[in-house]
Amino acid sequence: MSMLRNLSVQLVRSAPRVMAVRPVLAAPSFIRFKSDSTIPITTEKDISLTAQIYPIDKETITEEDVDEWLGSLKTLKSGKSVPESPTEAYLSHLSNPAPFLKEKFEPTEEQLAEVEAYSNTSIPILTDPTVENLINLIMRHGKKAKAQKIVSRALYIIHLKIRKDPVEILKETLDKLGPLVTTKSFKTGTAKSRIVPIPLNRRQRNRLAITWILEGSSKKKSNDLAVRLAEEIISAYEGKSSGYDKKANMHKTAMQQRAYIQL
Amino acid sequence: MLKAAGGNLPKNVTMTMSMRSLSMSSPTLYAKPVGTPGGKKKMLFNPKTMKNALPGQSETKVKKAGMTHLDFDDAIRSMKFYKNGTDLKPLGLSTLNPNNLSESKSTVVKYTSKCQRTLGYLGGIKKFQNNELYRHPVTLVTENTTRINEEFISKLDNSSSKENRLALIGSRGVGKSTVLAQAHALALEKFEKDVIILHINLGEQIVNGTNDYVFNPKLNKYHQPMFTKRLIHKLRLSNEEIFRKLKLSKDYTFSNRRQEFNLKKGENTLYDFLKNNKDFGKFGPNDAFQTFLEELLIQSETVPVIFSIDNVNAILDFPITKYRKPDFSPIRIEELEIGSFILDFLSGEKSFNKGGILIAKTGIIGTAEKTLDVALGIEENDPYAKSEIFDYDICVKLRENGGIKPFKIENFTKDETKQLMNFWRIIGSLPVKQFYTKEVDKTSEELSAEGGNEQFDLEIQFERMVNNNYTISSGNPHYLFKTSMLSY
Repeated sequence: MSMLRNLSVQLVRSAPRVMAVRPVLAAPSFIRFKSDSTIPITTEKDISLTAQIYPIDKETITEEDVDEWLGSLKTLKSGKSVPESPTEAYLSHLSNPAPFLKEKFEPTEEQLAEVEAYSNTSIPILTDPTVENLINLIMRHGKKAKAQKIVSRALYIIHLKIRKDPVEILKETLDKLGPLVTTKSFKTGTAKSRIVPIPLNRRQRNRLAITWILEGSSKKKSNDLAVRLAEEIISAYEGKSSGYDKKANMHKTAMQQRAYIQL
Repeated sequence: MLKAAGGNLPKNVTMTMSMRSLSMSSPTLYAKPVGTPGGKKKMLFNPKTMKNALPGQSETKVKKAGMTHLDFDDAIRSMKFYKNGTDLKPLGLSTLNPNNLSESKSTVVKYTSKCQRTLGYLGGIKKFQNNELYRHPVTLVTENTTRINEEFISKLDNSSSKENRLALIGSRGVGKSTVLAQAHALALEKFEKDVIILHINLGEQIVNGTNDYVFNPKLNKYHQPMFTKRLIHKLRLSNEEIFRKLKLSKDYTFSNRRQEFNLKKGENTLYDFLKNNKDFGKFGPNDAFQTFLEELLIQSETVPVIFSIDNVNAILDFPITKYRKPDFSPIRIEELEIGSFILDFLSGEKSFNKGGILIAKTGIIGTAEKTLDVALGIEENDPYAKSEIFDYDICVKLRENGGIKPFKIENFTKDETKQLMNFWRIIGSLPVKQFYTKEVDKTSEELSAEGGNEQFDLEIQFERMVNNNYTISSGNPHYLFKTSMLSY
């Protein structure tokens, strides 16, 4: 292998160096014209090539023009910063064309009216936050599309069964199932720790309810999570889920420790 | 086997475990053997525990609750969700009829009850068409419906099936099977049931090796008795009215369950023949199916016959079937009785005097195979194509007598998309509501209730949904359904 590598290095070194071909960036400025010939203008709309390259009110280029051009080029090259003649001004622009190439967008009246129509509208988001939460809790190993498919199919079955908007059914179920309060234990420094009831916000309530629904769905028959999930949501909607016992237990514990509520 | 520890037994005598239990002489032997913690347990017969008491399994089986054990695709079809569907009677849907096609263009229509029953028998209303959404199957009259009426149905009573051959093609989910069902319904309505429909709804069933088969040396073909029997049963039920009207053109004699049947020409009907003749399902050589075909060819002078096959590329693109001969060489499609019947009529070698041939591809099977596409002239013939991809003989056969004309099914137009989505909206399957905003857990409706200055127009929102879904699906019904109903 090392022999092959050495050979290849030698071959590369022995090859003659060739200048890399540079791409022509400003092609028109390198074109030379016959000074005695004129370029016919076919239509008024067509801008002649001369005007494109040398657009100072001239249709043809004479020898004097070329001399003037070369002269002003020399003066600019020598270090003149403020151009005086129109040719000098034009050539100085050519060396720094960026400010003249910028396109300025001017909206039409219709576009302005459209902007006005949307002025009071809040920015829409793609999906329902509750559904998104459920999807994210089902997702494993970052496979979101798979989780979305499961949830969409489950919601479709719910719609087929109950014939209402399944997202509303899901929200109603989570509202019913989600606990309002949980308990946390705080160390008091003495032998006994204090168990304090803490109220939950909507997202926390939803998370617990969704977790219980997913636990309940694992006890269903089907091999398809979408079907199991749909069944569990339907039974929770009808008030039959095992999550309700868990919710009741949580509330019971919180009630018992109500003396420690911190206001 | 244990050696005797006591001195009662001679040295060369050993004691087995069963003998140990009898021995009362030695206290060492009387003790429980090592490794048996509980000692012996008395085994009682209990059928409940014995059933599941396999080694390594818990004795009691955990019962799992739930509506079904099926997966999503099967569950939505088998759980009869259509019963919960919105009642369509108040909507006053018109029926699919060739006479009022122009009025009902781009609208959702229903099939007449008779037509629906016939389509049910024929398997025209297919499983994956999401009919569980509606209480009764409905269909959208599209540009394709009008075209199939003009190009196929109108020719049924004035041309032979050889001159009236169409192949429905198009991308997956574009509605080829739906147009096929619509064609059946239109024909039934046009001729007021005086039309014979021979329909094979799943082409793959012929070639996939799931049926029994037996060789008939006289025909030099293989029968598929159970398939033929089921096909005839299906055709008899779906064409009952017309078969009862058609008198036999010849005398036929056959026996069924030790009973002799003598059917008379001009007296008995084709229905009697199909009802009483049990030879179709007989595992042995018989000519029942050939007789039926001959009779149909004669009857087609008065009554138009539609011969249609769905998923036809499962047959034509895979001519080497899963069946084998006794020497284990594969059986080709031409060697099957049903297969040769299909090829004869598709090629125009045999032809019904009145009628037409309608075949439809499926977008799921055989996307790489090219036999049918080359035969229809959609693709160019590649002389170097492998035999698995392109079958020359089948292609040549299909091109005989002018070939089969391709009929491209187009996607929905925007208007059709809007009409269908509006129908979904009316039956309550497509909720039109305002989009959600960046405020967490608050819809813009809630925001406006709190004093926001937004004004909602549900019609504008619906229009937005139509535009969005039409752009995503490009009017393909399958993807339109997916993006509207199966993406929350």
